[in-house]
Amino acid sequence: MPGRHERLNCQMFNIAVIEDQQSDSDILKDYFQRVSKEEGRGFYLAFFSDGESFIKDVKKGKYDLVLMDIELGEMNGLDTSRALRKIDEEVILIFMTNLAQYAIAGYQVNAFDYCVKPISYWDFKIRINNAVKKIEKKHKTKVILNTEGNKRVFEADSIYYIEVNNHLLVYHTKDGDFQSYGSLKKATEEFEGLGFAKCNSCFLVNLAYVSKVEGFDVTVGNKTLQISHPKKKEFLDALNKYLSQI
Amino acid sequence: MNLYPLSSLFFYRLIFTAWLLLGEVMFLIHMKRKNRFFLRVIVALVVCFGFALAFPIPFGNAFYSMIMFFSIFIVSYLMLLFCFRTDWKTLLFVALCGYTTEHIGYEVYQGIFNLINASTNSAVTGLYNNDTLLLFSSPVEMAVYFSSYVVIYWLVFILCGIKVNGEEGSGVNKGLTLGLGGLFLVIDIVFSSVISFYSTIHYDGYYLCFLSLINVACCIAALFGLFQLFYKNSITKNLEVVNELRREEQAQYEINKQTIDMINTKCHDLKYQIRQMGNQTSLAPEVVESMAKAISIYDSSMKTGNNALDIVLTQKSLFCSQHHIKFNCIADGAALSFISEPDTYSLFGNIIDNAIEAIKNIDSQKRLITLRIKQKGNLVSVSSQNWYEGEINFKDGFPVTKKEDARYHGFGLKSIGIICEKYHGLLSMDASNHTFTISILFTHPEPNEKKEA
Repeated sequence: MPGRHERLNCQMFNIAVIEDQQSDSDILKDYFQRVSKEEGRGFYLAFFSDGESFIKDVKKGKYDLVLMDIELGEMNGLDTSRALRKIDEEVILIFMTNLAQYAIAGYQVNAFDYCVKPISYWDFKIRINNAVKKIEKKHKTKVILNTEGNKRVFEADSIYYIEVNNHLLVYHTKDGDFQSYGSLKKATEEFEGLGFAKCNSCFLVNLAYVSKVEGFDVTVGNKTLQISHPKKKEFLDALNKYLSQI
Repeated sequence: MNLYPLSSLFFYRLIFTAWLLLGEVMFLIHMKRKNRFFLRVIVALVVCFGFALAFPIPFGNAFYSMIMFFSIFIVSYLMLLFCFRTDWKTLLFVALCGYTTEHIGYEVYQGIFNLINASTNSAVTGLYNNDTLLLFSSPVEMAVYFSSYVVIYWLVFILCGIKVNGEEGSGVNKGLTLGLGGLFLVIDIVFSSVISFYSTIHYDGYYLCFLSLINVACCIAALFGLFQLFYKNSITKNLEVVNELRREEQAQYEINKQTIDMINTKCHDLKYQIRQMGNQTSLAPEVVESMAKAISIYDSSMKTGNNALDIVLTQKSLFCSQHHIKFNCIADGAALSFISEPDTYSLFGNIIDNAIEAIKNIDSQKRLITLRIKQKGNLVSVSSQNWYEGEINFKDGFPVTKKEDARYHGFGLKSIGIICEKYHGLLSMDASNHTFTISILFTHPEPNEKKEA
């Protein structure tokens, strides 16, 4: 049986808000309620008034999205984010700030986005929707495989790349390699729009794990794969597009 | 003396004029029209055909027909000047192309017809003969005539005509244009007339056929040469404008850098003096501190780890805040260290200017520019997004400008393209869902590998 993936409509999003101004927290609560009504999404909100209490609470995978005020008390937003990244390096992080220039260094902690206060609803909605799209795409796409008689479920997110060998697909994932019958063509269709691209006719690569391209070599995770001549342009275009997604 | 003998030449003048004008029209698509254009066209047609009809034909010799064709050509050229406001050199280029096209058509027809008739070895009348009224000696001749013209015109239009953009002539040397013009007329008119009349005396079908072939080859070569000169010129000119803009941007970068450095030094001095004064007066320390802070205009501005990027971002973000544009930027400036400072300044100046241009007139809530510069391994991704209204069409990967003044618009994006190419970056643009996105991917060698290489 070929690999199957599902986009589970898990409509509840766990969101942490770290904000020391009560009035700003209230505005955000109100905005989330409006987005929830308009888009039919559920949000579970957890509010923290300082970085320390948030870091005590957070665990890997506990939150889908973190909204962080940069100008916090003792432990500022950037410091808190550095601490957060040690615990959860994947959670989507959006900064809130009074001054845009404070957010410019957000790349250091892999910030997804930021909003400048006072935050307008239009601004807020666009950013939340972008983040939600990204969360839905990555975390909620499960792959169900029948491998050697056992059913296995894992997230598309955890796949480094998929290799085809005759009619056997090998899924190279964080949790090891799994095999299943299928074709790369079908897999390519299944992972459409999830940030996967073929670097040659044998490998379908999760672009999230590409860390280096040099000549016709691409490094995925800690493996180096060959890019074929005819696929190079297409592959780099896909990579360019993937990396530029905001 | 009968000035208008009723010979085939009498009618041929009009037919020739029609083909000549049609030849010219093929190159005129992108020329700039004068006002009341259609009225002018009607006047021009009346003048051209009227002139051709009024031109006396008392003699039937080569020299005289040369003068006739030349005069008709000059009148048609004057009429181009009358209808279009494109520069005279470009229009002369168009007129010469038109005439040459007509001539290729004519020579092809002559070549084929003479080949068919070569065996008869009798003097064939040709189109302009004063002895007979008949234009064509047979239906075959007529068929050859029309098919030659139609095929040649179609080919020339497809291969050359549609490429003319109306800016060809502006940079070409005057003397060269006139010299070439003269050479063309010699090929188009003089040779042909001499051959035509000589052939009525000494007819040799094969010989004439080969002469026609040579003539066609000559014309094609000439057309090709003319096109190279004018068309290439327009491309180089585009490039020159881009380069000129780049030079200006670089000069501006130097000035801005100096200004900001100077302001920073002054601010620093002022801050020091304010603190000194604060110590000597009874002002509260908070007041003194806030005064000192207020002075640091550029101190508190963008700090990305890249000088040139800091300068361009500071400048553009000031502009944006004045125009109620939200400028959202997360930038790892250090990742761009492999790009020279002036190039960084140009690249991001153009990216942001392009976005500002798109959103400055839309609903203020939607005035948002997002810029991301991030590094991952040896991959450096630059992306910029902005909302836009209306429609964007792409041609060769670049948006087609809809602005009236297409000459200078769009050069910013071309400049971005040139810089990307210089650093082997991959540039792509996208305009789906009312969001215009510029994405650039650089794969630059990591510093430690650079040493090895």
